[in-house]
Amino acid sequence: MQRALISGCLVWLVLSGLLWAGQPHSDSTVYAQRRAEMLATIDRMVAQTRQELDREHLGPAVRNAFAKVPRHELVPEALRRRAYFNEPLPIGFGQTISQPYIVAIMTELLELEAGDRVLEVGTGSGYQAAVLAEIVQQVYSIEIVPELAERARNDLARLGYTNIELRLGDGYFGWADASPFDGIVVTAAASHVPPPLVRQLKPGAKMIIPVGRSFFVQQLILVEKSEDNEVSSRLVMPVRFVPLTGRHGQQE
Amino acid sequence: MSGLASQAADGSRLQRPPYISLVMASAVALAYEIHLTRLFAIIQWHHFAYMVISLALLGYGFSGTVLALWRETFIRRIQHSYPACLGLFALSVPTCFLLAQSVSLHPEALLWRPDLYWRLLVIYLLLAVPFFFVALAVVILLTRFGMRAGSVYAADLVGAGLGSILIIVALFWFLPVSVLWALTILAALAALMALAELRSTNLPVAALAVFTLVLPLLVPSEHAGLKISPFKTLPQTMTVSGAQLLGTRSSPLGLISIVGNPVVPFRYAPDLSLNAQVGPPDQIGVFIDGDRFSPINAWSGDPGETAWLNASTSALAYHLVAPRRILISGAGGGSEVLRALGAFIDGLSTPHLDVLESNMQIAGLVKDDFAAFSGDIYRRAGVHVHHREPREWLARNIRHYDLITFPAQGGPGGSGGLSALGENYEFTVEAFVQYLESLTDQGFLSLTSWLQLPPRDTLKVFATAVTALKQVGVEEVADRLIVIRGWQTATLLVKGSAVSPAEIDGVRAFCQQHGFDLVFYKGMAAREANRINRLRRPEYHEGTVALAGPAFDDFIARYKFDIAPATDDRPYFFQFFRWRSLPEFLTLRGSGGLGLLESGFVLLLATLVQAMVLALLFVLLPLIVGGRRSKTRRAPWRGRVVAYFSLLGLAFMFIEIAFIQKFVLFLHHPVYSVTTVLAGFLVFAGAGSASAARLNEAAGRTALPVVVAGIALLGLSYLALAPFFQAFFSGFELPVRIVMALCLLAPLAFLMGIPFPLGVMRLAGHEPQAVPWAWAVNGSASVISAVLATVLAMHLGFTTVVLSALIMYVLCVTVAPPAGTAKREGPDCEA
Repeated sequence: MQRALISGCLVWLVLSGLLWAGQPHSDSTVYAQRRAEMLATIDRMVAQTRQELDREHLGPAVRNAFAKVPRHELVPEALRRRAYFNEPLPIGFGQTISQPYIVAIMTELLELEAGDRVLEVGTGSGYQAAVLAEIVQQVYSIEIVPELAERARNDLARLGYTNIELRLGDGYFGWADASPFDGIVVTAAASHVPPPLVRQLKPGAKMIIPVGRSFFVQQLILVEKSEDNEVSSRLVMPVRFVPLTGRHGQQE
Repeated sequence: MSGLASQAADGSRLQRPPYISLVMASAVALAYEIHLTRLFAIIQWHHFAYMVISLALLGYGFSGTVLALWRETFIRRIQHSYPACLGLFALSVPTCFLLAQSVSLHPEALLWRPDLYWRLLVIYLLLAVPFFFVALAVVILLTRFGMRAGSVYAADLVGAGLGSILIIVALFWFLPVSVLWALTILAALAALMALAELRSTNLPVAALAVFTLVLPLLVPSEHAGLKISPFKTLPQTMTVSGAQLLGTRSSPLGLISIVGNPVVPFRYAPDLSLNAQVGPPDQIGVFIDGDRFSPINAWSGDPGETAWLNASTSALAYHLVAPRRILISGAGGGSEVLRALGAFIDGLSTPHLDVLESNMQIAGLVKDDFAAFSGDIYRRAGVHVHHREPREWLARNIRHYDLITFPAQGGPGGSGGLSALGENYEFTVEAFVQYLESLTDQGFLSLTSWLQLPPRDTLKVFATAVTALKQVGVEEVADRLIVIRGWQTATLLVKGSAVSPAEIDGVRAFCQQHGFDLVFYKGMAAREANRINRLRRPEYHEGTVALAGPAFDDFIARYKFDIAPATDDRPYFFQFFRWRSLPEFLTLRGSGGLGLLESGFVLLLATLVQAMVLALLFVLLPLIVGGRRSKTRRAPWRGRVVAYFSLLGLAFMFIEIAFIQKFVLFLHHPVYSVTTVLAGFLVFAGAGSASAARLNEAAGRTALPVVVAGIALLGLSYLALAPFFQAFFSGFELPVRIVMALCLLAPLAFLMGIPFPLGVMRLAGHEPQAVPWAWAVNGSASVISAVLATVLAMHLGFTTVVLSALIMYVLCVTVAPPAGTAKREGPDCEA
């Protein structure tokens, strides 16, 4: 009886040890599974809003980036379990990280390619920068809040992103040394599109700006610079909503 | 036991209610209630403030419930219970607020995080505590001195009236946190006064009051200040390197924070063209209540430095006309004034600028504190700054302008949602008529709004202009209208006469130069729309074309947002919510579509539902528990008590709220309206209440019908004569208008103060045990009423609200507790 008890305890200890050793692997599997679910949600929403976005689905590069970037590593510890929900999250200092669907379509609308160089104004959590870094050659990111810049710098380095250059400062003047850019993402609140940023955009390139309240992006402004340097914009509503009914609506 | 017996004897010997402490406590309670709306508007947003405070006021109703359940305990020990309630009230005034503000909650997060609702519940409960204690003190007196209900209620109302004046005066002189502590000290003094008046030697209560008196010295400074939501603009601004708080100013109009940043300057230019080559100059940031932002621009006097202001949609009018007389409304930090000065600085003569800024502290910053920084724009030749609202100014000054301008309201993404609950008399049809009548033939009215998808503000402004033009007799309204838009704003111009072909060419050239889109002018081809700042469909063009033509009514009726023009009877320009769109918003809940929801109105409805559920609980609780205790489950008076006191609660607040809202137009600012109407209503109703006992004795059974007939007659007269009063007195100075408003209110308020004490006295004579319950019913109904009145006013207008109230007063007569020989006050009415 005594021997049976000792054997039982040993088996229990060995199994516990195996389970403990397997924990990180299990965690990453769980998060990978959640990322896959999040991506499925994004795919579904992109399909629902295909008219608004003027495209049927996300491109493979963006899908691949979303499947890889560990969002849970870039949100506050207390909110990790919500990291892959399709919802905005507070990241401290009154800043939020947009819902994954918005980050996805902002990235998609820029139509980036592997060799591109992209500027991000407003690093925040670093998630958007990480997504961009999975797609393009080099990402330049500027953050104005010192604590956020420091945190994002550490997190992105820990995750092994070597193609993101991050600096603390005023994003209004862009990053003249590294310009022109193939795409610009302005996630920081801006009352207007800074003229220096427009100048730092390559002909044929695009800039994306979300407009809205703290937690809700109400519309996206896609600024486009034509090959002959003419600047225009497109207002995109990231929600499938039929604004009118009946004969004036020309819909439904 | 002997102690209890002596307390009972003490309680029964009391002959005179403790009026002084009651007046003091009621004054603090109302001042605190108003101040809470200020405090929450600063730390959160005003619509959230409205919701939490409305719910907290249910503490009033709950006090009646508690007293109905434990009546004897409180009444027999009145010398202890009454001062204790005031002592606890004093202590809870600062502590509950400081605790509530430390609960981390962003109201919008509630829309998709139901797990955060418990935090909202904690805030409700904390804020309800002070109101519960002060109301319990009042209802203890009302019950104990049932036959003197008139004078007790009068003291309560007069105290509250004084409180409403006290708080407004205090907010002009002290910062909001200091006012909170001042109210705490006053409440503690009221508790000490209660001990003195009741000759009570209750040492714990005395110690509690003294402790509360010194509490401001004991609370550590890091916990004693306001914790503004980190999601508001000011705290976010302060996280940026180099941000410095240069000063603060306080007034009932808002807490002003002045911020400078030499490292990362503000660069506020919301409608700047994408083609602009230069941005704005250095700016000082002026924040109101930590959010609303207005910049003061650096200017050396060089006209070249104002070029950035011309690359905006709102600059269109200056490219079409050379205005000599300009009226600028809502001038704030002076960007629009700078634009006007920049346009003329190299001209031969200076223009005449009437600059309206109702907040004199903001104007003072530009004029005095930052005069050198701003190029002293408010003291330049031809610039005249007035602390007036536009309608007040135009009513007092018969002048014609070449340009009347209004800045965009709210913030990027539109003005709806957060502002939905606020009445706004500047954007009603009647207001637009007044503006049009103040334009010269070649003059323009210029209104800028934020772009939204789907369009809201711009179409509503356009619809309002169309209606106003029709009202002034213009047959071809399309002749007078021009709309352009950029990537973030749209500007509507309404001309005093038909727009000329040359002007349309000017609009085209302006749009071409700055990369703006044409939206509307008469005869515009659809292909001209939606070319530079593209939408998936030319919704702005389609909408304005429909509204300018015969499809006006049809288009508004079919639109998914409420874009029907606001009127003086329904002055909610920023209310866009439509019931029939709600299911679609809800289906978009998981996909970020709730951003489309006009959350202000939805929060209002949520408040109403929550208030109704809780009120029902408070009213039913004594019946359920009391029913178990006694066998009088089906007492016949219960139905009458519910009907009479809930109708009174609803009707009184309907009229009070309607008058507060209506008098904004008469007194031209919500602060003056709230103060005048509240103070007037409460003090005059208090006087009416004080006379209720004599009236009851003199008129007996006929007292109530006579009073109600008077209320109905006066109410109907006000409805009929309000436009006349408005037109006649608008031109007078503010003090005259305040006196006139008080004279108008006095007779109605006096009569409205009578039915409640009349009912209580009748109950005290027949069913004294029902008095606390009647208070619970009345208190709960009042809270529901305040919210319901706003909902009704938004949908049906103020006239309907007032008429409903009058009908409820008439119904009161039919369900009033029966008059009869009442028992005299004393211990006998406590049975």
